[in-house]
Amino acid sequence: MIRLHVQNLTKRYRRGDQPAVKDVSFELPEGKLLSLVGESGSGKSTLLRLIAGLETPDSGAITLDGTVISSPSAVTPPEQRGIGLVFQHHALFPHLTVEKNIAFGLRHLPRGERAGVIAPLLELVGLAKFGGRYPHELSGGERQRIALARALAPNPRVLLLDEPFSSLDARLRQSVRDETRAILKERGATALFVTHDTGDALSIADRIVVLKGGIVQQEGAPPEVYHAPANAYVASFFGTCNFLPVNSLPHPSGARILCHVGPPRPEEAAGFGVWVRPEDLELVRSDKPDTLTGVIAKVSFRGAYLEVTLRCQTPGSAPFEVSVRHHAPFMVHPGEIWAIAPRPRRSAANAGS
Amino acid sequence: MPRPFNSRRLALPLIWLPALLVLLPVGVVAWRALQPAGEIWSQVVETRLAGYLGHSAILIVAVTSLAVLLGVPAAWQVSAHDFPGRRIFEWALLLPLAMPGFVAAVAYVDVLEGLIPFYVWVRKNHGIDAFLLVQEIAPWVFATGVLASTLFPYVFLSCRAVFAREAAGSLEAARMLGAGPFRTFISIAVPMARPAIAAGASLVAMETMNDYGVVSTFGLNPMTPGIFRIWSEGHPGSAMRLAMMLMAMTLLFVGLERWQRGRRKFAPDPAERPLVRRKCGPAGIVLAWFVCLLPLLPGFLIPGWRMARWAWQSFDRIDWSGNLTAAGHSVLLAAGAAGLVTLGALVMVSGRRAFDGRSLLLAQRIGLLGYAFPSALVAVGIGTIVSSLATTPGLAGLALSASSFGLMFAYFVRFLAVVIQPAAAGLETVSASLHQAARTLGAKPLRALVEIDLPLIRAALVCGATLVFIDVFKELTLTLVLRPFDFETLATRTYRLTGESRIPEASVPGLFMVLVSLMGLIPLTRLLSFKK
Repeated sequence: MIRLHVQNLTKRYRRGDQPAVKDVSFELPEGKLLSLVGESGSGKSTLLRLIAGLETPDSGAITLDGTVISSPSAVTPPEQRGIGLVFQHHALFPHLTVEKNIAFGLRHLPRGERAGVIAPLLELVGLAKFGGRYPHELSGGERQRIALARALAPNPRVLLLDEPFSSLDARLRQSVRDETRAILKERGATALFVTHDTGDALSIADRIVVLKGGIVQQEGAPPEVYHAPANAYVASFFGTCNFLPVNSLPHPSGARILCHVGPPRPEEAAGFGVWVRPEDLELVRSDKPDTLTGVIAKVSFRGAYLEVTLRCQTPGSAPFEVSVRHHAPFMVHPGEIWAIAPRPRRSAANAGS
Repeated sequence: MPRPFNSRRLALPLIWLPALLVLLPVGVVAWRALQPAGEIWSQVVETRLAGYLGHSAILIVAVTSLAVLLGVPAAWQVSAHDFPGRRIFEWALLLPLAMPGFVAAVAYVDVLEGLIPFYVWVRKNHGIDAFLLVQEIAPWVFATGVLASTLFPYVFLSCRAVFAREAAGSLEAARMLGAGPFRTFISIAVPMARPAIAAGASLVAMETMNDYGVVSTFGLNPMTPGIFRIWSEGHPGSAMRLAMMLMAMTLLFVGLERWQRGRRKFAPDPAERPLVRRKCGPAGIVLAWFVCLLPLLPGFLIPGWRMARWAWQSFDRIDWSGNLTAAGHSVLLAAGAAGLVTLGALVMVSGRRAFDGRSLLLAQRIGLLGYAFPSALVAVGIGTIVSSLATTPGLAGLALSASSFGLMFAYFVRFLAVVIQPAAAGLETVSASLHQAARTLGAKPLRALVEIDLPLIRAALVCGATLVFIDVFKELTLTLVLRPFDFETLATRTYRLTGESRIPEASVPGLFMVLVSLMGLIPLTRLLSFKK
């Protein structure tokens, strides 16, 4: 069942400005976790605030369980929507204890029943003994979890999370986001979170909506977005991606070629090519004449692998760089000449221009 | 190696000089107050002290609470709600800052006098006790109303910053958790604004304590006029003891404010953007207008309008030469004080940057303290210094110049903070590394100051100087006590004519002061929009 439906939403902050959100549509099914991902200025926060009811759309509509809650003519006020929001900087009430922060949204319950809601929630986020503390007595990760518990307490129909992990340091971030997903799934919550971090989106979302300049670039499951990007922007946004000019590819007879973009014509050659991720390429010893070769320009140690940058040039193309994720056993050094081949098995490529 | 020239050793006394000047009058008063008390003092304690203290306490509590009740909801309305006229109210609610209490009082003196038929009616219908009570209470009501409605902008300003910015995240969170406007205001906005309310309220309390014009216009007898009365009766020692008590009250307010600020252990989560204002329905619009007009009408619109009408009606009878002479004096004093204070602040602030040192921070703190010294104490202290100078054999002829010097001195003490504050804050935003970069590039401290630091805080200095100009322009208490004989400024003229019940004539200098002060609000609002 579709819980939240966003239809052709457009929002402009000032007349004459570029719209912050332009003709955006997507659906959020019940119980799913959707991520809105994009760079700063992509319109993702505006979209979140539109759904929360803190902003009014210029056109389009937002439907919650079949009822229109936002349209240019009528906006249900945020406090009447039944939508929860976890703020980027948590926005815990500094003058209230953890317990009172969580109880704030439980006014509809009789006083006696509130504790019965708060205790299991604190248990769920693993902070059962923290009810009497004040926000400033909590660590960053604890505050994040309390903010989550507070937003979940009134049982919102949709939970929104605004850059929920951005204020956490890298080590904490991974564990908190896995916990968050576990908590949301445990509660069966329908949730939407915005992030600029593709790692957040890929690792915990059920579906991803990629935004750029207020326009949806692609919507799909994480592997889909990563391995079959809809365009060059999405391809490079989710990690390093090599653009190989078409005429630099090995001979088109081999099964290694996944995408062949027409016969290369010299005047167009520079504009056609394939996108290949570094982990889908490998360095090989080869002296076949039609193999792509390059000189190693840079080797960066990344722990589990080496990030190798090669400078390549093929007849009819300008020099270009190719990045390859190289795993041991053999060591490589700048200045050496290596051939580049697609790694066997899965590989995703796409025509780009 | 011999060091022929040590600029630091030469500069330090110069940088400390303004701070010592600020301390001098307090020092004189404290020293005199510590002398053994005479018989006069025990008389004062017996007959007057309780009255003065009681009146001051009642007035301060009443004015401060009323100012909070007026200022906080008004700040909430213009920050959290969207209604027609909101943008106008946002700055219009600052207008009372340009209306000194004793000028606003001009417009109410006749109302108080017009109550006589009401007293008669009360006496006839409710007896003598009710009559006495009403007659006793009426001036209090007027004085409290006038002071609160002209001073509430201090509370309004400090709260507005919290509501619109600092607390925005929490306010939106409350909304997302289902709280309506009223609950958000009571359970989130007000508690979060408590330190800001305390800061605004302590300013209101200090201004109330220093007020001379309003209370004496309405015939009340709190500390400040009391000190001047005892002083003018020729009992400087007793006046100084009272002044020290007033000082203790001030320290109490400053302490309370600090305590309140200190209790907030943690800054609220920073908001990513200003608060999104809630659209008002018809009832909300009516409420918002009511809340905004409630302080604005008595604090600015009614007195402004009444005085403008009186001035217009008596236009051909205006004493132009008297008013212009007074205006000239006001401008002279205000400009002179602004220049002196700016110079003093400049020396202190830039000295601290050039010769980094803890003692200089202390000097700067002392400079800031001057603003908290009660006017009465400063006036009595400097009055003593001036009169002892004038009675020194051989200096007697200098009496007149001594007293105008005393007046400047008093302004310097009271208003030095007004320039130090923005200048120091300005220098804080100019990273010290700029100064250090200039030094490593071979510039001596003075050159680094003149070429790098000062140009970057010019705007702050201009703002501070303008504020001093305005403050002195409408200053009454110090001017009244310390001015040379027969020397009239617009403020003293307004006050004198009001006291003589020549209301239409008092309106002209009063209005002129309001207009000039309004011009001073422009840099003030610009400063505030910087902070946004």
